[in-house]
Amino acid sequence: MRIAAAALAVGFIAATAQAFYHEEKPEEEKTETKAAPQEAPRPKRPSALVESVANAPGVKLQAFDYVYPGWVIELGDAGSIVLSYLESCVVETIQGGQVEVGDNASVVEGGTVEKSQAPCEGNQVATTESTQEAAGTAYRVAAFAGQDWAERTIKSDRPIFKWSAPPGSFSALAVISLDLDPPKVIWRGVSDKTHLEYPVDAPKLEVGVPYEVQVSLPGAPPAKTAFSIDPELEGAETTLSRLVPIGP
Amino acid sequence: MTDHGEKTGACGHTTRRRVVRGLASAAATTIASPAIAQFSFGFGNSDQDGPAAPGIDLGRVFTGLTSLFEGLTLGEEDEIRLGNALYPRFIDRMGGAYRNRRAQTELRNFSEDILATTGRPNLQWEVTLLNNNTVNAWVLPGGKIGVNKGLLRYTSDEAELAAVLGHEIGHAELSHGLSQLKSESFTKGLTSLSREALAGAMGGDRLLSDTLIDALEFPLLQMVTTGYSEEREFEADQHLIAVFGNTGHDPSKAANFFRTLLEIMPPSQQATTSLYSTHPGTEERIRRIEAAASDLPSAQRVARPGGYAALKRTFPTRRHLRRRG
Repeated sequence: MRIAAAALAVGFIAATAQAFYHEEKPEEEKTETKAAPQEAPRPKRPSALVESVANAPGVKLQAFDYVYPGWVIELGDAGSIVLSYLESCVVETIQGGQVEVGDNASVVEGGTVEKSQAPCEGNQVATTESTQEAAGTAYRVAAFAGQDWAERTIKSDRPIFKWSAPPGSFSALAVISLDLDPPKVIWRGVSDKTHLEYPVDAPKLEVGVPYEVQVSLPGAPPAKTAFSIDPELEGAETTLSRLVPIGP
Repeated sequence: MTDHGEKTGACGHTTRRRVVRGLASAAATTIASPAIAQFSFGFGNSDQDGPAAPGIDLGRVFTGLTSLFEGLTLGEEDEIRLGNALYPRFIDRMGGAYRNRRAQTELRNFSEDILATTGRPNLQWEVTLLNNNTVNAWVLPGGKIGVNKGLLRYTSDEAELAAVLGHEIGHAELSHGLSQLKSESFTKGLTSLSREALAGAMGGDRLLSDTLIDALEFPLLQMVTTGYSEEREFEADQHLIAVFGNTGHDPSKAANFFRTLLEIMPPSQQATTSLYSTHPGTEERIRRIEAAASDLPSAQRVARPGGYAALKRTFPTRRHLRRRG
């Protein structure tokens, strides 16, 4: 009983101390804690893809770079950037100002932003597990546990594969047709970048057939994503609508 | 002084430890109960008055009621209201409508013959193709149907798709949503929080209030996607036989899609759907369907132009994920 009381007392003191000594940082400090893109720590998953950057020489980003939640991009007065959010499929054309990358949208200060919705699947979780907090209750819609239903359907038969890799490294890619018996590699490629457009002269991808793209980096297990194509998906063909992200 | 007859030291340390452990255990159980109960649903694997759902029996622990809806009179207008209110939400939660307008139209065209056989013309039947890769379909009270694109990838011919639709239509036609909602197993499967929300939303009116519909959203989502009671699933299977009799689809193929489910679901699969069962097994459902189908005349249907064939251009039948043997 004495031990329990002592533990409670220690906890109370610790909590009180934390409350007493916590103080708000001044505004300047808060701003400075927001890191520039290349210096910020990377959360596990990127939230958006850079489609283009213009007139912003201080921004060390280029087309097909990933950006991550919390990153801050300073465009200045003349700079512009187009970001495509991977989950929400929102495409933002941002002119000037400061851009803070969010999970599904940017926060822009001192600039203008135009938004449009691109035809893309977002990160559809194949097991379709969805949890919904409703009055504190989480309901899990039936998951087909043990089976991987993950698959991204894109509009174009020339997907753009995108992955993460250390700068300067070479990645080996393979596209596998999963519906052949046994599944068969139909195309292989190599890239020194982190994105690659499925070549015009590669075997034509068929509508509705399941494919898998794998990317291998030296010394790492391959990352992979399943995808299929449907040219009749609504909406214009954009970078995002052609994108097949591989791996986390 | 000892606890449970155990010897203690001079200061009773053992007794104090037992008391502290007991208190901690009770606290942990109380805190964990809602979390445990969230996953102790009994849908799809118990009769209306059958055995209790696995896990903690919250019906007895928290309210003492066996059915929150015992005193509520629910009819066709309630079914329609429920379906209309929840359909857009369910579509949204299950991946959204698939953004291929032609495929949506072809699925609706295909469904016309089957929906024309219904004995419930007042229900506002609707079919939506969903952007969802899992092999499933569901129906809400009131005739609102969702078919996953994942399911279309695994139907081998139009009879199989007709069987799926006939089965789901059976649930709506036979008001299984309402009857299961009023069942003991439904109430037992609720978490304490949803039970409180539902109890709080019960206004005593004949019609379902908006608040009650909101509170029913997630329990119904769970129900329609994981399946109904054994008895109701059998009834829906028999309904698809009746549909085949009316539409002329090939009765010898009435059970084929259920066989496909056996091929693609992993052996460890425990989750159920309206189409895939573990209790009873899908094999038993196949046996019963085939027995009933054997009484039907052979196929008399002339395939319509477009319809199923057009759907399969977008969703060719897959071999991928099927287990052989």
